[in-house]
Amino acid sequence: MSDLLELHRIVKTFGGLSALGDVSFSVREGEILGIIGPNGAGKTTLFHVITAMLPPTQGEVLLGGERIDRLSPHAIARRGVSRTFQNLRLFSTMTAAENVMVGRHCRSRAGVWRSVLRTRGQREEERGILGKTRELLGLVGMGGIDAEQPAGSLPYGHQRRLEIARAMASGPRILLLDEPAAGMNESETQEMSLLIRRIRSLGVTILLIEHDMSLVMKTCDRLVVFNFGRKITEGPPEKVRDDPRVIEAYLGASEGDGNA
Amino acid sequence: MGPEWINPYHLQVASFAFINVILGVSIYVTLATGQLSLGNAGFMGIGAYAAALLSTRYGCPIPAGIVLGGLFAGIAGILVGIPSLRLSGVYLAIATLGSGEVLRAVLVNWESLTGGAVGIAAIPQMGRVLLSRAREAGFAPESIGLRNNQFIGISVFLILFVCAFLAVLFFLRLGRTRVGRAYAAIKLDEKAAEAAGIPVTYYKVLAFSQGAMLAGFAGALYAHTTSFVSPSDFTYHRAVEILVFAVFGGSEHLLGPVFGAAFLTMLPEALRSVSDYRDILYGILLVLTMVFRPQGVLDPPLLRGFARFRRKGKA
Amino acid sequence: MFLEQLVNGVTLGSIYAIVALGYTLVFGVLDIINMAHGEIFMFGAFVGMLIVSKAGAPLPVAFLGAIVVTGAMGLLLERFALRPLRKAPGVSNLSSLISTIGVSILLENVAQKVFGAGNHLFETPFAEIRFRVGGVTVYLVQALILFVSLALMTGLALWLARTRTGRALRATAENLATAGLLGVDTNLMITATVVIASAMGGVAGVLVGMAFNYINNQIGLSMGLKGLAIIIFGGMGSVYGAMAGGLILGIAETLVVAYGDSGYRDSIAFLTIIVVLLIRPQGLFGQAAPGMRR
Repeated sequence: MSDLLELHRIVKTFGGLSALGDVSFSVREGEILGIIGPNGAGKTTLFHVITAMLPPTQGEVLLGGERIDRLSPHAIARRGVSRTFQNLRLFSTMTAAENVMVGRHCRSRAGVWRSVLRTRGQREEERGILGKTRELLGLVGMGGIDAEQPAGSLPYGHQRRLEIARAMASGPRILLLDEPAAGMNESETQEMSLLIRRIRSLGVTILLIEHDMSLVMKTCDRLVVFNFGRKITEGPPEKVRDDPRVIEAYLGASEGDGNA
Repeated sequence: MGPEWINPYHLQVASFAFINVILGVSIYVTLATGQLSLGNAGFMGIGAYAAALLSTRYGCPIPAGIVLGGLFAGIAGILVGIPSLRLSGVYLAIATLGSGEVLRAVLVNWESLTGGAVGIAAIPQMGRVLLSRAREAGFAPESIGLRNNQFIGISVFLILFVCAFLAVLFFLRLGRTRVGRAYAAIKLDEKAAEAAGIPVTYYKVLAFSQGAMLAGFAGALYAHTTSFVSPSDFTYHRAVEILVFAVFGGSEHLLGPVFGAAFLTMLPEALRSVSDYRDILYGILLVLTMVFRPQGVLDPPLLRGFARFRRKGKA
Repeated sequence: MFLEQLVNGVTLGSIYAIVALGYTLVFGVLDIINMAHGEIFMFGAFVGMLIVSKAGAPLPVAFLGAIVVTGAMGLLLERFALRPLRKAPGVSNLSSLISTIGVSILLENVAQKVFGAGNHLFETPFAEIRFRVGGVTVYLVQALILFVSLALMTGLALWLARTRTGRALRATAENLATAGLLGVDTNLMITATVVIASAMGGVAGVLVGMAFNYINNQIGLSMGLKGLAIIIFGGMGSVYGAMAGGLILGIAETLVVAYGDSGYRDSIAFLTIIVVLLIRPQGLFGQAAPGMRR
């Protein structure tokens, strides 16, 4: 398997504070790679850097061998990197379907004039967007009446899955999921694990931040462990689980804030 | 002679209502991406002066002058819109209001071009031009029982109606498409929109210049309707008036500003019997509307209610 | 010559600073721009004019009268145009903005009805008294304006920093909800802020009458726009920014009129803020990036 996403010596500082220190690892095409670590380890910052929402202070991000760290976030989405947010960022007054349609933006082209004049190409494109939207809502188990509800009024678990559908709408090569199972009960977490693996089976590589260890162990092919903005180890789940450095990182953190 | 119920004065009020509808759409378009611009009075001024100068100095035909007026304002919109990307909320509002005031000072002081505080007079009035063209072509309004001023009033009314109608239709159709969804997404959450693959900068500048272009277009129409423009037509008061159209009518749906513009232009006429106090009443009305309906008169739930009601009526 | 222009500039600037303080206090606590502030200021000028020129009463009475009338206007503004909107859920700041614009239209036209549209003479008995300080001619009126505005600014700064109520007000400005939880009567604080801001506008109105010797019903608008420019320039909600911004604008305007093109005098305010905003979007003394504030 070749490397789809490579991070080379990423450094990110805020003011004088270091959030990421010299982080390097690669995501292989078609794998599910989990990123774990205590709160404040820099996992979400890493997502921001990969999607260019924050520029790295130093280092390079490569997608399929090409540098993407100088691009703007929308250009990165176009290249095939898509993400969800830890604290949901749905367009809350739009319907569920419209949220997904927005995600299709970079795979469609109709501009102002074609939209206003409703040219044949534009109508076909809209039909295509609608079809894709239904397909994706179906994929995340939200077909039916949910689709026309304002996203903000949906149950929490549905909102989480809707955000995945929106991220999938841009046709990503790699999907970045930031705690997709946060706040879910056991059976919902189970379903989320199934969904993630189903998405992988569609040929999408997945980079996953998650606190729920049962989900991580069951779902991921490999894990990268973070602590204090540094990668402390990486490897298959069973190996990482027994690594003393990992255990120490978690124990050390749980003494502090108690919710690793 | 001529049917008495066709009152040129009423036609004129309605014509101004159509110009104001275009202005209402202009502020809505920019607001649709979450940018509150109070510069539209200034852009209106650019369109009006461009059209006025093109026709009085260079003999440019009226329709071409109106289109060019809109384009000039649109270009000015891009020039103001790009640096304004760094600002949001009240900062953007005051900065755009400020650029309008600076423009007005330029209009007052650049006398050789703009005629200074006096402004530009004797701009060809579109109705009169149409009348003389009609007469040259051998058509007399009397033949269909209209006085000259009735013919002028009706033709201006119709031209402006068509322009306003097209402007509303254009942005109504844009609303539920790829571009309209991008606008709405940016308004709701810029970061999420960008991450979802929407080039936020491009669309914000696009919406800003679309609003400026529409305002310039309205200004050009205004110049050829009143046949006279001066800097005092494009002051702070005009900027606030345009804002009020949107907020009074409702800024969450395109039809809100359209309704606000039409209603508030007609209202002073309805208040003619108390004309001494109408501005005072206007002020009180604004406060009361905000107290009892802060989202404006028309909002999406109300419009959905109308739509349901109409469907029921048909069934 | 230059020093005299500087004195003129500082005098004008200190009035601008007081007007801007009225905006910044209300913005700091309520996060809204009170578009009626300029018109309240204008009423202060008219009340002062009536007391000094028409009734011939001494200046302190004019200040007192202006404070009482504009303070009462602030009370009514808060009670009827701001408070009802505060209680409704999901109301945007835009609604409050329009509400205060409604009040400003109302006041401007009431003033026109009552006082007419023309200029009114604002006569002070000592308008011609002047003295020389180290080769610079200073009018007594200027000295008085400077004294009053400096006293007002110092008083406000001390009050905000030292007194219990001042601290409660700053807490309210910091975070309305938290201040409420800490037992601060936020409604009272907001009312007090609007009343104090309005009364300061009233004082500024009398000062403007003294400085220019005439007033009309348009001064509210032009002064209001400058006040807005100053608070953007100085940073929204920043008390010291408003003071510094007012002084800078007053001096800049006076110098441009003296040595440049007087036609652009009223644009300086906006040209300055446009430049400042592009370089430093949060204003000179502002802290949060504007994008963070809603």
